[in-house]
Amino acid sequence: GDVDGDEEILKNNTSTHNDDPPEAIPALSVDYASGSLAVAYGSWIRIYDARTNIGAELLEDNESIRHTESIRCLQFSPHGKYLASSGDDKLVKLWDTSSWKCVHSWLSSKKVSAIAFTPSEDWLLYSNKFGEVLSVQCVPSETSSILTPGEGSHLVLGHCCSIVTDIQVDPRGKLIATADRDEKVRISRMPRDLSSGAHDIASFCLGHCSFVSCLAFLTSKAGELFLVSGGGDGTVRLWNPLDGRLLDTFELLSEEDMEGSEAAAVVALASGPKDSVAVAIQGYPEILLLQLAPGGDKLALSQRFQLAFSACPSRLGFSESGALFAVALGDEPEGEGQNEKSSGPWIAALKPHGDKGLYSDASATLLPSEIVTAVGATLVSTEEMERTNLKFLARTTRLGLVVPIQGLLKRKICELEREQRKVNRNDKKLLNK
Amino acid sequence: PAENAPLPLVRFADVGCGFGGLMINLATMFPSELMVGMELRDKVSEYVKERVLALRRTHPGQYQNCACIRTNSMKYMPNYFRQGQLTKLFFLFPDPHFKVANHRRRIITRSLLAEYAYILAEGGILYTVTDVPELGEWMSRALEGHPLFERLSAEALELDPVYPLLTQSSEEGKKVERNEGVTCINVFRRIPSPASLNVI
Repeated sequence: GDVDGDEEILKNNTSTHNDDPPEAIPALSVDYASGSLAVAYGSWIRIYDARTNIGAELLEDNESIRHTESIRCLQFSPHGKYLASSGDDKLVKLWDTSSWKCVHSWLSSKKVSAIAFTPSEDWLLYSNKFGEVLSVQCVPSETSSILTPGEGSHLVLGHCCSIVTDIQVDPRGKLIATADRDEKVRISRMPRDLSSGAHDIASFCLGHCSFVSCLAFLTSKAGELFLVSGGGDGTVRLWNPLDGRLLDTFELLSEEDMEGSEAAAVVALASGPKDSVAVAIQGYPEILLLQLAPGGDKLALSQRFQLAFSACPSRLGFSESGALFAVALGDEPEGEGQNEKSSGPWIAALKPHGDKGLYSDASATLLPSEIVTAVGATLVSTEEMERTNLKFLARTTRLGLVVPIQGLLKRKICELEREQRKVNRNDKKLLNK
Repeated sequence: PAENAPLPLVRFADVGCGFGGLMINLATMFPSELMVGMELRDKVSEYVKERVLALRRTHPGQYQNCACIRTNSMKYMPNYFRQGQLTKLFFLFPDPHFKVANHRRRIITRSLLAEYAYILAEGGILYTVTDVPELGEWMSRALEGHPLFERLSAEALELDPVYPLLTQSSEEGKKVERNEGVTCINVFRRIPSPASLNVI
C-alpha cells in the first residue's frame, strides 16, 4: 500500500538535485542606451557593440583570471559604461565597454547567483548561495594574478539560510530589491555608503508560494515605481515596493492545470518602456508580453511570440528604443546539406509596432547575422491565443527542467522519511529523559 | 474589547523559547499584552503548548495572552510580524554554534539584525543573554555595529521589570545559576533611522 511506496522512495531518494554540474544556460544583457548586446554561454562571452557595429568575443589575457565555468550572470551597467560577468567559477569580472578589456576581477568565496549595478555605476552588487549580498567598488585596478576569496567585497545584506536568486536596484538608486528561494522579496533602503551595509529594510513583498526567480523594477509612463516578480509558483506579481503591497497576480497556469504537475516557473523578466513586461517561462518556447493597465494596478497579457526551433528563451532585455531581445536554446531541425545541427544559443528580437505597446518580429533586421545567430519569433494570433492557451501548451511542450531552477525546488519529503529523519534529532531525546 | 476595534497585535516574541519559562513569567507580568514563543523543535513546542493549556485550566482568566508557535525564526520572522509590530524581542541563551564555519547560523548576526530592526517598533527593546562569553562578545559587537540599535544604559536596565527575568525565568537561566555560571547580558533599543544613513 502507501507505506510500501513510501519505503521505496526512502531507499531510492539518495540523490540530491545538486550533484551533477548544472547545464549551461545562455545569459544575455542589453545595453539600454545603445542597444548593444552581450551573450554568454558556458564560459565564453560575445558582444555586439551597436555603437561601432562590431561583434567580438571577449578575451582575458591573464589565464588565472579567465572564466572557466558557466557564466550565469551578465549585466551591462545602467549607462553602458561597464559589463559585468560572473557565475560558477566564482569570478566576478568587470569589463570596460570602450576598450572591451577586463578592468577588474574579484573572487567570491561562493558561486555567484545574481549581480546588479547601482545607477551611479560606482558599485556592483553580487549574491551567493549562502544568501549573502556583497558589494565591490567599480574602479579599474591592476588585476593581480592571485585573487583572495572575498577580498575587496563588503557584506551588504543577507537572506539567512536561503539562496538569493536576483538583485535589482531601482533606477533612482534608492532601493535594493533582493529575491530568495524561500518565497521572499526584500526591499532595502540604499545606504549612502555601500561598504557598511544596507541595514534598513523598507518592506517585504510576501505572496509567492514558491521560490522567487526574478525581479524587475518598472517605472510607469505616469512616473510611478512598481516592482515585478516571477516565481516557481507560475505567477508574475506586481508590487508597490515601498510598502510591500501586492497589487496584482498574473497566473500563467490555472489551479486545475497545476494539479499533478509542477507549476510553470518564470525564468526571466524584463521591464521595458511603455509599461511593458516581457516574461520567459522555463522550458517554454515563447516570449510573453504583459502590459500594465492604464489604472496602474493590474498586469494583462498583451501578446505571445512563439520562437522557431521550439527554442526556449532564458533571458530577456529591452533597449531604450523599445527593442526586446531574448536568448534561447533550441535544436535546429534537420536541413538539406547540413552536417552539423546547431542547438544555439539563438537570439530573437522584437521591435515596437505602433504606439500602443505592441511588438512585431524583427529578428531579420535588428540582428546582423554574421555576429549573432537569429531565430525568428512568430506572433501568436488572437484566435490562436484563445484556442491554444498557455495551460495547454505548457503541458505539451515541456522540454526538460533547467537545472539551476531545479536546484531551487525543495526536495519533496514524504511523511515516512520525515519521521525517519527526526529519529536522530536532539529533540527526540526529550522522550528518553 | 469593543466590537469594531481592530484586533490587538502580538507585541512580545521570545525567539527560541525552549520550555516557555520566560513567556509564562511575562504573561502574568504584562497581562494586557499578547506574546508568542517561537521554537524550532517539535516536541519542545508541543510541551510548551500543553503547559500553557494546563496553566489556563488551573488559573482561570490568566495565560490567555501567550502562545507557542513551532517555526524557524531565522527564515520566517517577516512572515509573522509586520513592520514595527514588536515592542520586546527576546533571545535567551541562544545556540552558540562554536565552529567558525557555523557562525553564520547564529541567531544574532549583522544580516539578521536588519530584520529584527524591521519588526521592532522604534523604542522597542531587544534582549540577549548568554553564558558563553565569546558569544556574548559576538552579539555585543554585532549590535554595537548596527546603526538602528543603541545600548540601554545600566540605569535604564535596572529599572526594566523584565531585567531579573532574563536570568531567572527560563530553565536554561536557572541551570546557569545553579552551576554558578557567568551570564552576559546585552540589551539594545531600536532607534529611528539616522538621517544620514540612507540615500534620500
